[in-house]
Amino acid sequence: MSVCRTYQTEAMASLFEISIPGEQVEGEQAAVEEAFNEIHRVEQLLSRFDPASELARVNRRAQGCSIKADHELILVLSDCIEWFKKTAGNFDVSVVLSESGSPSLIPGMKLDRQGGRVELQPGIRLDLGGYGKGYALDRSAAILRRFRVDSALINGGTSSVLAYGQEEWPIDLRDPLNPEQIVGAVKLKNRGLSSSAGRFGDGREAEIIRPESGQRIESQDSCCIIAGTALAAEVL
Amino acid sequence: MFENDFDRRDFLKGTTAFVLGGSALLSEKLMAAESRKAPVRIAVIGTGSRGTFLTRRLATIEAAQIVAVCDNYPPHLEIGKEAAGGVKGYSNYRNMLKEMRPEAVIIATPLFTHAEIALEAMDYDCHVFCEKTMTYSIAEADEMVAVSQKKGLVCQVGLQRHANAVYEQAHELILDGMLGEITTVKCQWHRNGSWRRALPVEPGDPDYDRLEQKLNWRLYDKYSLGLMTELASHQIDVTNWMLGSQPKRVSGLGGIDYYRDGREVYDNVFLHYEYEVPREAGGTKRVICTYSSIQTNAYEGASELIMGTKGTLYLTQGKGMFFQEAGARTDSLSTGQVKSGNTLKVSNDPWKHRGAPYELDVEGDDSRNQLVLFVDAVANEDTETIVDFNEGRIDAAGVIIGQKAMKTGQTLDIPQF
Repeated sequence: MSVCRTYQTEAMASLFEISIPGEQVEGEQAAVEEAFNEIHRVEQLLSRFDPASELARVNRRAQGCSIKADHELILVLSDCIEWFKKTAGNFDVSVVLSESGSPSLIPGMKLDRQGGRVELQPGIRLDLGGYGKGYALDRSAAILRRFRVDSALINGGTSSVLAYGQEEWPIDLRDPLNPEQIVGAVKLKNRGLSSSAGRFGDGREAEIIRPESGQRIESQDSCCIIAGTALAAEVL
Repeated sequence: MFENDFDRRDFLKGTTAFVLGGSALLSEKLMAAESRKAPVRIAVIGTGSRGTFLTRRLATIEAAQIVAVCDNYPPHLEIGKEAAGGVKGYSNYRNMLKEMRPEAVIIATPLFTHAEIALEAMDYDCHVFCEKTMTYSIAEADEMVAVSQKKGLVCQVGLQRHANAVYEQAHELILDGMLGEITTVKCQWHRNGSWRRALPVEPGDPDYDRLEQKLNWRLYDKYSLGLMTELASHQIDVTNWMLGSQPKRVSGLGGIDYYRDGREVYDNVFLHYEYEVPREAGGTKRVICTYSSIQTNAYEGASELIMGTKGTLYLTQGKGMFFQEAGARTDSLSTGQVKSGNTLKVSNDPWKHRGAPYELDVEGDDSRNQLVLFVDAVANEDTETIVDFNEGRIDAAGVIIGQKAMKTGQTLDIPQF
């Protein structure tokens, strides 16, 4: 790999990095600033922790009441329903706050796509933590491409990575119980990778591989998903 | 009966728990009864980054209906149409005003076009929400104030800290005398970035120069006064509000000292604003506000420090903190939303003298709140908005003369309104 330039920003309680190889194109700095703006914008939309986010408003106001919500958030929630169905309910962005809440996204959330409205059952709130980073990575890659950055590795903290373009990026996988220990390595090209510890992943789709973890770790301790988009890797 | 009550409640939740039971004009206005049968028909003019941001929020307000969006740059118009949930798009705002006859418009175009569009909209008896800074020149602001008053239209400037519970509570604390006599204000907006928008074409492309001027209008002085009109205007507005006054004189230094990319506006500015404020004991005293904005280091971020003889307010959009001066500490403050923080104080802490802060919190997004309040004012034909055009003019005069003071190297008087 030739030299690459790395830019950083803090978002979603993680350090995001964009690494760009090869010759620097005119306007690269501005393109990176646009990509970072997009990541911050997605955070403002989907963060459960920022009381000013649109998701936080939905969580506060939509319990037991249908409200008009942001157009893009409606599309995201609709996509979450699709993933919920595809994974037989394993991917579920609903969180039950009290016993009165139904235990899952269906029927916990009622979405009116045409009318742009959402309603949550009382006791249900949404947490897009398992979706937002992948979504932000895919969106920022689209922006970099639009501004003529043909190849980059975008890293949302150490758990989510997206590579696009002709470059092949070597990625080390670390042991979650012993971060100094490298337990595997993959070459990433035009793929998203997401790793998580202590959670099950589901590798049923043909495109997705699940590298075996090293011997010291039980398979459920760490799971690493590679998929066509950062979002798919994140969700699965 | 069509109610905006639902959205108002979300805002009120953050503002009613005022410190020490103070009752703000704002909350009383919000409590006013309203009756209306249909949502307010609003059009958005200018759907670049800020206009799209506002469109998205406007589209979530129950009492508002976006009837059209307008932008003369096709890619931005497409994004704006989508953000509005799919409405009619126009490239020419005059055609839009003529055909759609909206009740109100949101103007979020580059600074130098604000006055022209606002005056045209008011000619159609439209109520106007105009992004900050209100105008490029003071003469334009005079005309907008005169026309809006003559026509009795509902007008508001996008200085959204007036719709933010942190600032609303801070203002209450000041009115309650918790800061003692305010003697000093220090504001800064420090960032690290070029402030440059990426262009969709390469240098050498026949469209490059045109798009550079169009998308990077903030960097050219015929369209914008740079950091003064795009950032400082928010904080001079906060200072005016907290001091209950307007700046009288200004001096400053600024320049293009780091970036070498053809920009015409300063990349760092440092100013002193002088206010004359009444004293409790009678007479007036001068309060100096220091202001800085830089684009090469984000360490200090964006905040305002309001400093009085009994305490200091540190204000940001997401959080406020109140520190009592050592001689004035009391426990009587922990009421309402203000709660004592748990800052660890150790003997070698350089900030030990500050004591633990009282925290001012906020729920919700002030950019959305200001639109809820504007829609509400339009529905009630209430011309007393949270920031009317005269307040917008006072703010504009402060930043416009501040820019002139830096350019000429002189201390200049600021017109009073």
